[in-house]
Amino acid sequence: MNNANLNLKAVGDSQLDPNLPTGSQLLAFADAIYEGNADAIARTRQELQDVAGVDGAARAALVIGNFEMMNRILDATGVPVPVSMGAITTELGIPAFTGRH
Amino acid sequence: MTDVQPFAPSTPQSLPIPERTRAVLTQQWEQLAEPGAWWTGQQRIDIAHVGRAARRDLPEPEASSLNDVDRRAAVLVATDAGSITKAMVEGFVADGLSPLHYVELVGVISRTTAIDTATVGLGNRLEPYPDAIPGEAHNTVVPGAKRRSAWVPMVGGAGATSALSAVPAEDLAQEQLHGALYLSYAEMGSYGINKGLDRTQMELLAARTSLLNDCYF
Repeated sequence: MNNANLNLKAVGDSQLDPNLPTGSQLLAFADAIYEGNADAIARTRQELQDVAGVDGAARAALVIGNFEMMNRILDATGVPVPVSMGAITTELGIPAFTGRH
Repeated sequence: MTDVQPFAPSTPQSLPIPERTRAVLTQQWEQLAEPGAWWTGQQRIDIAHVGRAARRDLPEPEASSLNDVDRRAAVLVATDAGSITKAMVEGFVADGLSPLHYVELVGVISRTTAIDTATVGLGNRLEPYPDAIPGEAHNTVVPGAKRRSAWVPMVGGAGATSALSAVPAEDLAQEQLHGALYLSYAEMGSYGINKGLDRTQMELLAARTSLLNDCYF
């Protein structure tokens, strides 16, 4: 898959197209799962399934689950955020890390 | 009447998952109910219940083996881990929750959150928690686990693969679940891997989910 045109700023801005096959559907599905609205989850799951297939949509649900785990483990145990993460926040279009840890 | 297998498709919209993935989820559920290093099986199930109730606005069971500080820690890790500070963790410890109890609690909440999230995303109904297996916690102490740059004891340097290392059973369960849901630690170095989604697609999901959780890793 050619990802040369991937728009990383779409990570932080829902209005932007990530320029990645199935990217918009993946982001919408992740947002719906985070918000927890059953209708939105069902709709975005179907939209993702239409473009990524059953296996792709299923893997998306599993991957999102994994990062719900990892985010909690890292934040709750106080693992220091790598300095390198601070440098890519602009590239991702997200607020700068303020050093909570 | 046949028994319904855990984590099998449970609604008409359910997406199927590989059998080996379902087997890992089932194993995780069974392990959840067993006595842990610092909590009994019943306490671990109660921790999971508190976390699920807080995340999904469900009622907690009326009877619980947890005290107030246990419950407060479980709710916070389940609902707002991104807001946790070193002072908060030290506060839990000052209130009687030992660092190793806290590490195991973080593992239980984090893994059950992962499994519930994936379950709902797949279109399944939430899996009921299993009955607790009687027995005492085995109080496993890991020599060399120390608090260094992180807020809890760890073996070696602080990182994603060592965060729960002071409680080996939780550390291993995290690694197994990570491999089933996303990538094994060995697969993390493979950028050409495809498991229904390619690596870039998976990383896009990882980045968005972490942003939503205010997590900068």
